[in-house]
Amino acid sequence: MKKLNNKGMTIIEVLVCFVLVAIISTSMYNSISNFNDRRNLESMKEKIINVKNLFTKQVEDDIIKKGLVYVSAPENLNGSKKITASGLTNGSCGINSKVGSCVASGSGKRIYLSFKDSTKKELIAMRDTNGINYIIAYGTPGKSDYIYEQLPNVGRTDGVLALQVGDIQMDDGDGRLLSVDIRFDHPQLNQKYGIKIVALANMDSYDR
Amino acid sequence: MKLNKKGFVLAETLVVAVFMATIFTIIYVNFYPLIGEYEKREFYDDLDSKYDIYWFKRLVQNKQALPKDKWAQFTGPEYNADCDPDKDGYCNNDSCILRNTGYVNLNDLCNNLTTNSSSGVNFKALCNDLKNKTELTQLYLTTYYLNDPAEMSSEGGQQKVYLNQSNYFKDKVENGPFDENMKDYIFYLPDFRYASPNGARFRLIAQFRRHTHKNHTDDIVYYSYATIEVNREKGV
Repeated sequence: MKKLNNKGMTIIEVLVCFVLVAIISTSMYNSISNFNDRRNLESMKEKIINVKNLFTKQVEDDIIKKGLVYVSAPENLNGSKKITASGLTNGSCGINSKVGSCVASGSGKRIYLSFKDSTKKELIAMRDTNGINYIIAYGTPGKSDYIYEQLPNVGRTDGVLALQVGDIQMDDGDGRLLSVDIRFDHPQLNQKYGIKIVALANMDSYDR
Repeated sequence: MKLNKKGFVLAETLVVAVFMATIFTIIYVNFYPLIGEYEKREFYDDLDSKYDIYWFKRLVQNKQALPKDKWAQFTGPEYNADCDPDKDGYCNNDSCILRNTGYVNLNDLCNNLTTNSSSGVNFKALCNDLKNKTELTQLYLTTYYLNDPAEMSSEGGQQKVYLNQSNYFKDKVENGPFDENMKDYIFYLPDFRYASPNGARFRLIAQFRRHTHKNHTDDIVYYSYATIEVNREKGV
C-alpha cells in the first residue's frame, strides 16, 4: 500500500490556531490602540511645547540679559487688560531679506517691552489673513531678531482646529511687572501648555 | 514501527510557558511605573517654573528688597565680613532659623521685604504681585547642599559643612510639615555634592500652582516645582 502523506495539519488544528490567534489579537488590540493614541498625543505635545518654549525662552532671556526697563500697556483693550481669542485681529507675517515682521489689521494684540539698551520689542498674538490659524510673534519689527510661529497643526476636532488659543492676558503691572498668559487650548491636553511669562522690570537698577 | 520523536512533551511546554510568563511579568512590573514617574516629573524644573523661581531669587538676593538684618534672621546674625564660613561655621547662633530647622519657610517672604526702599519701590507689593501672578504656593530657603557633605566624598574641592551639626534639608523632610508631592520632589533632587561654581551657599525650592482650565468648572489643579541657587555676597 502506498505510504500515506503525514505532513501538514488537519483542519481542526488549523481552526484551533485561528481561534487562538484571534483571541490573542483581540486582547492585545486595546493595549496597542492605547499605545498608538498616547504616541500621537506625545507627538502633539512635543510640537506645542517647542513653540511655547521658543517664545518663553526668547522673551525671558532678553529680559534677564538686557534688563527690562518698562512694559507698555497693551493697545486697543479699552482699559481692559484681558483679551479673548475671539478678539484677535487678522494679519500676516513674512521675512524679507532675512528681516521679519508681522502686520495686523488695527494694531493687533501686542505688548511692548523696553530694554536698558534702548531697544524695544513687541510680543504679538494674532490670526493669519484667513482668520483661521494663530500666529505668535516676538522681536523688533523690521529687524533680523524678529521671530514668528504659527501654532502647530495637530489635527482637527469636529471640523475645527484642535489647537486653539483659549485666552490671552497681558498685563503691564503699571510698568513694574510683565505678565503674559497666552493659553493654548487642546481637547486632550486642555490648557496645560501655553506661553506664560512673568518678569520684574528694573531689577538691575535696584541691585545697585 | 518508527515512532515520531520530534516535538515537545506537554511538561516541557508548560515549563517554558511558565518561565516566559515570569520573565514578562518581571519586566512589566519594573517598567510600567516609569510611565507614572515620567508624568509626575514632567513638571519638575520645567521652563516656566525655572523662570518664575528666578524672579524670587532676584528679590531674595536684592539688598534693597531684603535688608541685611532680615537675611541674617534667616541665615545667621554673624553673617558679616568678619565671619569665614569655612573656618568659623556659617551660623553659630541658636536664634538662626536655618541652623535650628535646616530650612526657612519663605511662604511669607513678601512681608519681610521693604515697603519704602531707597529707590522708592515697594518691594512687598511687588513681591505680592509676583506671587499672585506666578501662583507660588510654597517657598523654602535651604543651604546649597541638600545633604550632609561629611558623608560625601572629598572630591572636587568640596567645602566643609556649613552647620555645626547635621541639619541638612533632606534630613528634615521625612518628618517635616511637607506634603507628599513636595517630599517626592525634594527626594528627587540630587544632593548637590560639589560646591557651586558661582559660590552660592543657599538654595530656593518652590512649588507653583498650575491649571488645566483656569477659571473654569473643569479646572484640575496640579503643581510644578523648581529649585535655584542663591548667592548673596558675604558682608551684606
